Amino acid sequence: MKKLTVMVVDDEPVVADTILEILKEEGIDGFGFSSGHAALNWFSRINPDAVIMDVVMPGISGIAAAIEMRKQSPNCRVILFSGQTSTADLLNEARSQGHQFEVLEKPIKPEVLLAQLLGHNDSGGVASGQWPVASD
Amino acid sequence: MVAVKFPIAYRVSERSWWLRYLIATGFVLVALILNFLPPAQNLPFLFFFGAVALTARVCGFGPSIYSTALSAIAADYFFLHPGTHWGFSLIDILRMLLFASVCLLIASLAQQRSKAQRASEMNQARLAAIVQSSDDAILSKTLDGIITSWNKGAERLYGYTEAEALGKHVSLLSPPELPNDIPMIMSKLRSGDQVQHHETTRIRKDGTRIEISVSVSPVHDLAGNLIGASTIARDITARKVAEETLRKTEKLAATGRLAASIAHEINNPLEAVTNLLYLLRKNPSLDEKGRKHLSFAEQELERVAHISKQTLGFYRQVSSPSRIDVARTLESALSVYTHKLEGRNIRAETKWESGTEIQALAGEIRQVFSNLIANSIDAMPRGGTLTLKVSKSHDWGNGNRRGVRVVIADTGSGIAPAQQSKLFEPFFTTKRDVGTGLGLWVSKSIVQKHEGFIQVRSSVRPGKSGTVFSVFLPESKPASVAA
Repeated sequence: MKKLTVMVVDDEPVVADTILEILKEEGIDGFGFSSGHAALNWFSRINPDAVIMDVVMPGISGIAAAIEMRKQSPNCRVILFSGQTSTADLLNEARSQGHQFEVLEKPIKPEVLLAQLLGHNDSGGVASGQWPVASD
Repeated sequence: MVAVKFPIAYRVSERSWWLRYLIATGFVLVALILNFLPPAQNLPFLFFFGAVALTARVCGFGPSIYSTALSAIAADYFFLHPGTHWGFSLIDILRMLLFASVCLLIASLAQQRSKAQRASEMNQARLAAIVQSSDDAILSKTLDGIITSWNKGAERLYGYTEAEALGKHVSLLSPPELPNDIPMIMSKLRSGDQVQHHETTRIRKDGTRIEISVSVSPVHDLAGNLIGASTIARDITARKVAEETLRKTEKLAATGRLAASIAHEINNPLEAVTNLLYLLRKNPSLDEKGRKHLSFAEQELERVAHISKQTLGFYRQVSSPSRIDVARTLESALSVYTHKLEGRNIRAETKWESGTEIQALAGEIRQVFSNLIANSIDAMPRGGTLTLKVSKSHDWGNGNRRGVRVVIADTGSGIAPAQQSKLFEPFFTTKRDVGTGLGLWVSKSIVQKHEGFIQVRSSVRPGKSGTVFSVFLPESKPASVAA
């Protein structure tokens, strides 16, 4: 299996750093960025297989950055994650412009994130990325 | 202010001219006859003055001139000369002229008084009409609180007719929960103070409560003694309702903003801690005890995540609605609480009907059920029965909409009627220690988003207490739910 290269973008460094470490455990190369701008600057040089990105960040939003990345590299996988309600509105706006993204809600279990990233999520639905609201 | 009905004095001056002159003639005739009585013999004009004054008062100025002339002639003929005959000497004419001028003076004075009195009566009548036709309730009462007048506005506002209210004590209008309100107003009045725009609650004849704004002023008699009070009351129920709605809306908006910012602040650290615990688990040097602690930490963290999702609500599922089996969703929500039910000695009775499928957002519906079950358990700290029913149903209001009805009932302590109306408001909780006051509010908004509705019935009667939540979810859901 080809080694994946992933960019992780989150304005909270501890979130980005821990995800990078989790990826490293799985043998995935990761690069961390704390803003959409920084990520876009490096995007073409890194040419990642996937991007894991926060939605609500200072400066350019995760959705706007994702749209730009899609333009540059249509095959790149973009997984957005968010801890905020306004996400739904941002997503609706993106959808109205013809952009569909997968969005996970924070907090995401690392197992779920990895499954999503490696593509062996069986349900295929975004809902499976949630913490179960009332299960276990 | 005493709303006396002022009888408009019977005034001949407003009648036809010939009647007035006829009456004037009558007065003069009576004066003539009276003048034949012994006491008047030496004062021939005495009763004629009276006749002229009366004519001026009752019939107006024209007839009074007529009666002056008539009196002069009669006096001249009957009384000025011994025997009855005419006399036209200089002295006679002077006497007549003197008589006539005095008469005219009397007539004009009488006329003026009559005019002043009429103006005052008109004024009072006008005031009475204003009081009667006012939209506000206007009433008067004695210092002891006995109602002495009652206008149409008061009849409309309070539901009592004038006849029913007069003579009663004003405490008739006081709701039992405000026993000190009217005594407070009365004591202010007795000390000579006014009460301005006092907002309070009153009770109507039919028992409904109304919000009013009331102004009460002391009423003094002509000598300046305090004799009672006048009250003007206005129905402000509609305004109060509007204010309440605004308050709720503002509360909701503030809640939304607050929750959104809290969600952000909480979910990011939660994400970090989740990742850190995951990394810790991967650490091979962790011993058995450490793993055990870690596993507890993960469980507790999961609880925090659960609470964050549930109470901060805003769990806006991004996926689109799917077919879900309501009974199975409820069952899975219940399964989380199995341990708790056993611990509390609560028996769960379930009754599922098959084929209760609807189009909905599974996660959100499960959150509603989870909230309701958790509430029921909290209501039964000393055990009881939790009843869960799922059945196919129709919209109770609109029989055309098919859907599923879910009933979640407990035999707990029940919710007092005063609290029931506030149950679905944000930050309202009956659980002082453990409640966030957001669970039911979030549940209601989720149910409404699915175009369903949620209802509550509760009883606090000892031995029969308990609460029943009923949720109706329509079978197919509008597309707008997705966002």
